[in-house]
Amino acid sequence: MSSDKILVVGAGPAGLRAAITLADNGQRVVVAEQAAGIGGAVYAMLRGVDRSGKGGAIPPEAQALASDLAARRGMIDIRCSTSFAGLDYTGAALLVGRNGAIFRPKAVIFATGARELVRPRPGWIGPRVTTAGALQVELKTTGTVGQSRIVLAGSGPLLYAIGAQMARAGRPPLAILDEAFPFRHPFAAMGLPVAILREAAGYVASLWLARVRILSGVTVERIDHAGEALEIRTSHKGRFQTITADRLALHDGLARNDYGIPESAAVPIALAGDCREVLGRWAAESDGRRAARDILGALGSTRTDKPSASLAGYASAQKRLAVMFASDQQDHLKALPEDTVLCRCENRTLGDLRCATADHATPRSLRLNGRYGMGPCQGRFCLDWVEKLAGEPFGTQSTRGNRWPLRPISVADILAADPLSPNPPSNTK
Amino acid sequence: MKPTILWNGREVPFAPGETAAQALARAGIRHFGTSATGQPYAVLCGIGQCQNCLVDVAGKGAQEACLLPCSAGLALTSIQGAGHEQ
Repeated sequence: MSSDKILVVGAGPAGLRAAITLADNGQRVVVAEQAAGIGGAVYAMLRGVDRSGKGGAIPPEAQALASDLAARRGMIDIRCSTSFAGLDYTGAALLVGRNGAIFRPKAVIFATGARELVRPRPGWIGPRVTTAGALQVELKTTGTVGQSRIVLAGSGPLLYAIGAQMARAGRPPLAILDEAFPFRHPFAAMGLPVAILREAAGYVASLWLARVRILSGVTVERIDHAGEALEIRTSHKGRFQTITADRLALHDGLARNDYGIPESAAVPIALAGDCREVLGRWAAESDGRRAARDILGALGSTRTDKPSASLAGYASAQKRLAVMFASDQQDHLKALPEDTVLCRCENRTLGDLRCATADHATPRSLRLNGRYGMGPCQGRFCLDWVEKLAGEPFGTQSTRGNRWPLRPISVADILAADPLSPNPPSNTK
Repeated sequence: MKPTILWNGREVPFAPGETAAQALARAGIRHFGTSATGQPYAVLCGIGQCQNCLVDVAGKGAQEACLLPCSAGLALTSIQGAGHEQ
């Protein structure tokens, strides 16, 4: 079962660049990607069915990644529709899905991308409320979005990026409701790297040309599901307004995504890209290279690449963006009605949490009695808020627990996972 | 004629490369079912992190519709959980 291959989890820019760097240093690589094709969220157009280019032309960086990958097909075994499920104490990795496998990689690089944060709001559960990221992947892969009246709300630069991409596809959003006041921070903005400023200017221009309403300091207070439509109740300094829409896309920032990523004494492990630290697509490839180099070093392999560029510039850019798009999540959370569902999987409300923490709560009691973090999403969508609300210094690691599998899998998946053969079937698009 | 998947026995056309969630949404189907705790199954994150868009795939059990590629004749049914706690 031992193998001479390195496992890379995730085929976004960080994972692909890591795999390419490893291949260039003579390593054989298996890439596990749970989506049906490469690109991750940011370059989802690489697996798109839209060839009109309306969902966004394929950026040159994504093109370069795809062609660098194609040139190394002999060394890199890309397994799409295949998820990483876990790594046991012996260092055996389990992949499940279309090209499931069980094998002992020489090393593992996790490049699973960011987690999108969505703060609970009354009525946020229902078929027409999604994350903004879901809307963006839909746009990038199909070239369009299904509904006509779409509202983007929350805070963060992604709202503007998606709004502009929708406008360019001829489907501008009804409005962007920003809790923050990003346009009040010209000094923070001016210090941003030129590449980001240029991208931002393009977005603002597209939004302006499409006459998209951009409202700052506006909060979504409540969402009512009225048949096929949504009634979105918004507030701005205590003044209320209701917007009727077909879909609401929420976004409250991005966070690193190290859920369930194991520590192993048996195998060297590295994290690359937004799953390690949210630095954006510009930094992801550099960080993929860096992670590959760290792994090569840990394996005692000689390295031929030149040293990677510093990521410090990207980190300071993220700090500036955080200032521009600051929104007080704690304040908003505390104002929620008691019956707001915090944990979708286990159907737990803010009131349930208040009961669970009324006397004495520990991370363990919150899990076992409160059920937070115990559902199928393993807390990815509730624990950020539970920790903020619990009012005690709960460490994220302790509320989460840390065990595999990383996602629900079936026994059949485990049985179907073949020991990795020397020449596994290559499956990509 | 466009290829189709089956949703609760009904034919739903899809474009090559589309996910089940995308094909269903285009047919106006956005509410996929109900979880054991009574919450609606529907697309939330769209990238396989939230387990909120589960559908039953014939012979394979619950899978995320947002990750599931369409193929001709793929048979999906909605999951109807208890609808109540306990």
